[in-house]
Amino acid sequence: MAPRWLVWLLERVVPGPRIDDVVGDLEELHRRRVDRLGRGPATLITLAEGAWLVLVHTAGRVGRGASPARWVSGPELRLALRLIRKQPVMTLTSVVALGVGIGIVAGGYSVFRQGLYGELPFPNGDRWVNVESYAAESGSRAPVDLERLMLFRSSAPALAYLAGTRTAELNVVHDNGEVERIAGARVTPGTFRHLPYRPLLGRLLLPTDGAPGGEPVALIRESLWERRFSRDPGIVGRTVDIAGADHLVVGILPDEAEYPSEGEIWLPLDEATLGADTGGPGSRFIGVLAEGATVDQALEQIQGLSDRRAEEVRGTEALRFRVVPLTRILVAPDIQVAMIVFMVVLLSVLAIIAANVGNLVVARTSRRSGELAVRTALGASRSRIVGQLFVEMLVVGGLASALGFASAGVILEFYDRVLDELPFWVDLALEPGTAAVVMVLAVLAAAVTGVVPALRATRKAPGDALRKAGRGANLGVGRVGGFMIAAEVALSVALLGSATVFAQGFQRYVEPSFDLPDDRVLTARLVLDLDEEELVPGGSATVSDSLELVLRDFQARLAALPGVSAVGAASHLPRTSPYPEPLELEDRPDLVTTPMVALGPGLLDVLEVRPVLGRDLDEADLRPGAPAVALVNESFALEQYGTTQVLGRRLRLAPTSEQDEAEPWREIVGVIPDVMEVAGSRDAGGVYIPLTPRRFVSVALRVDADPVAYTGRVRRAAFDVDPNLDVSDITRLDQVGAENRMALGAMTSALSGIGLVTLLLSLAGVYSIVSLSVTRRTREIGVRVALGENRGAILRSLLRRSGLLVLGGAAVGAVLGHRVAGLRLFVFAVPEPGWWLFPGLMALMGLAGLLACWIPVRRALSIQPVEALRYDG
Amino acid sequence: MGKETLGEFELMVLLAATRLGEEEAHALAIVDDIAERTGRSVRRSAVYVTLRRLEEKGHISTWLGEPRAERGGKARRHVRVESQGALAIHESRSALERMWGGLDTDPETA
Repeated sequence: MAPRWLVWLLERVVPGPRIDDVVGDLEELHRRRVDRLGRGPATLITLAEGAWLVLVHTAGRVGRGASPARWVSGPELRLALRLIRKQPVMTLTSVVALGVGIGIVAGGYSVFRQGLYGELPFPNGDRWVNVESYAAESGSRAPVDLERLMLFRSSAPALAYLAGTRTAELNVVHDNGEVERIAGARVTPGTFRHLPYRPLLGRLLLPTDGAPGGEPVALIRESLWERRFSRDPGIVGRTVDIAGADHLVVGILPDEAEYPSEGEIWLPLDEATLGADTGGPGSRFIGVLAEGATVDQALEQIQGLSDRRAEEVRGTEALRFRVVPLTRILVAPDIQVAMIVFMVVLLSVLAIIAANVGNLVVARTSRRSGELAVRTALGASRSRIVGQLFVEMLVVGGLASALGFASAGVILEFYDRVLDELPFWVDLALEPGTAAVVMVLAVLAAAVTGVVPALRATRKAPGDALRKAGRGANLGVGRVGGFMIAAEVALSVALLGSATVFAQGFQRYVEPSFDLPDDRVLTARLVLDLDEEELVPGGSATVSDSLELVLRDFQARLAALPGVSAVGAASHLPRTSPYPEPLELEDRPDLVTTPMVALGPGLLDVLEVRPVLGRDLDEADLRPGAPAVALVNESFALEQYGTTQVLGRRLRLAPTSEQDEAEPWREIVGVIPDVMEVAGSRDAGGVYIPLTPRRFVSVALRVDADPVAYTGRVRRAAFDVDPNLDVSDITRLDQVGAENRMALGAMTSALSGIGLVTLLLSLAGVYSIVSLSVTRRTREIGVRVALGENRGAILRSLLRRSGLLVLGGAAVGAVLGHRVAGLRLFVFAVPEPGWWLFPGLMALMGLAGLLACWIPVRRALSIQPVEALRYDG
Repeated sequence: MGKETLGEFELMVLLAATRLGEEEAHALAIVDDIAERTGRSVRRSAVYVTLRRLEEKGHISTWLGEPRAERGGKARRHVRVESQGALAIHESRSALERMWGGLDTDPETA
């Protein structure tokens, strides 16, 4: 079927008796094209044709029954090309501006579409869904018991299969003793039955693989086979030490097998228990919908089965389920909001650009009002003249869309390079949908920028227009022009202002004000998610113990390495912007929100940070029952207490919900410099509490040589503590968060670039429209000078309206920009905009407006009144 | 006013509509028929315009059929060639045949 919105639109613009013909034929042709060309290209052609039909029928209505076919006759097109050639600067400006704008929006739309609505790139990929479970009462994520999962498997006909998968980083010990950490996944073997992958060698996983007591087996990817085993076919049937146990390699999967993990190793999960550990990190349940079944049916069935079981079996937790297409990874509300804001920003850019081109065309059309009036007087119908101007802009739009295509391609390539963490199914290339958007945007932009000014110019009776054109009377910018000026000034001030604020925030995020020993510190990330029996042989440890045992052991091994002078751990490292938490200060009624770091002993030592007052945290603070203490940084002390003399004051974490008990008051025992936070921002404050058990811990060690040389030793130390210990992101301190920074840097520079371009365009737009309006009033100015009016008074009266528009727009933009900057769109803290920023931008816009008036006004004031009266502008 | 003659394209459209018959003659089928038989690419808009002109002249009449699924629930506009249209075709043919009388138009032998 042709896109619904297009049909809807056509049904509104096509005259009643012809709807069946036009829409029906479009539908019928679309079907034929789908059969012949496939869905994508067919949709593209249908969209283009439909958009054209919408335009010609709209124009036909405006032109009061004139035949749309007469609009774009060959001579009209040739005339359009000749006129465009006569005005190369205007054409070039319009094409470049619209092209870049269309490219930005089309590129952004592609990211948006792929991010939110991508599909797995294999047959039936749209049938794969995520099954998520939440506690019915609290709404937080909750694991599903095995009984219920098995029930779903056997009794939900909408699900053809229910798989358990768990991504994992696995330690592989090679024959030479080297330990390599390789991304992989554990997966229920039946999953492969629903995937199109065939092994290059050996076999896939079988349902019997992974059963208790069975021989451990593994599938490996072609890339690993090539990299570590030189494509030796004998690898199949050999054992490899993976995650502390020998695994028989049973098959090799080709590199295009990117699902259910983009890693290089697949291990089987027990088919009968679906992996049992339903709540572990990286665990997910994935359903394959039965043919013809919908997501809603699957949800309804498993929710019904779950509810019935919760009623029948006492003590079964009530759960709420969510079934979403697997590729909807970006459904988290905050990400959606960020993406929508991003799209709105991009569309604003296009709106500004279109408004600008519109301004230019208004200016040009009004200069041609005499010519148009002559044509009208000679018998050209209004629709013909409007059509003529429309065709001119359509040619501009066509050129712009070609440029838009090219720039969207460049933009997407840039994003594809920068965002290397994208899921494998996201392919940032121009797709038919994006191309259709480009074309629709180009035609729309042509329609708005060509038809609206043309309609305005041809509204008057030809006699009037001729007389007025002859006298050079004021065509003016009118209400529409005025609104366009104000709107584009507002948008560009808002955009550039907020982009500047983001850029500042980013700059501070990248360069902490505190001087850190970047070139001598190595950091690593530890995930403490070990099963009890895996933790220590024969031990029965909890996560709390794992911190004690594993982390201590690991740190001790690191400290024992030659050349290591200090080892420490914390929940966050510098440059990772710890998230703010609510805090209660003793004797204060209000909560304060400030970044919070859980700090282990030794980290400040590694970073060469000494407390400016009081002491560092030590081993004793971590022991159970030790007095509750905290450190604060200087910014926090100054901001909250107005002094750094805060030792002995007390604070505590605010309870997160009503059920939580408040923790005991913590005494501030030390004040340290601002190390972790974003200097100068509202998140500059920082509170440090002793490290508590947690899943993710960052470890840092200071060494006396190149830290990167220690990578292998750190891995080995982790392996010696436990073969399954998950150590990742081993990197120099200055590389911490580098990928994030790069992506954010790209986004910030893109925003700043866009802001700057729009500012320049706005300045040009304001200049063109204001100078036009003043030029059109040359005659009036001449009369006023002839009547002896003071030149200053004339200038003031001319500047008043434009000035009000520009400043009014800038003021609205300042408020808008302030609001946008206040949204938490990034992981880094965004500073308060400097007081000078928005007034500065307002002043800049005002100055441009002033200049735009000043030059033509001066010219008008300097000519003799008699000449001014004769002026035919 | 003298008798109106048919243009070449008008004649083609009328012939296609006659051949297809009332049940099968509609704009898209006429486009396909002409394209298939002449090997020319035919603009749909030209067929629409021609059909409208022929209807205004009284050579054809059109009527909407039943809504159809393949047209998104929209009806098809069928074309009926009226007796005046049939007469016009006949006259065009006779005129052309008269003009051809005695001429050898085969490019091979010319």
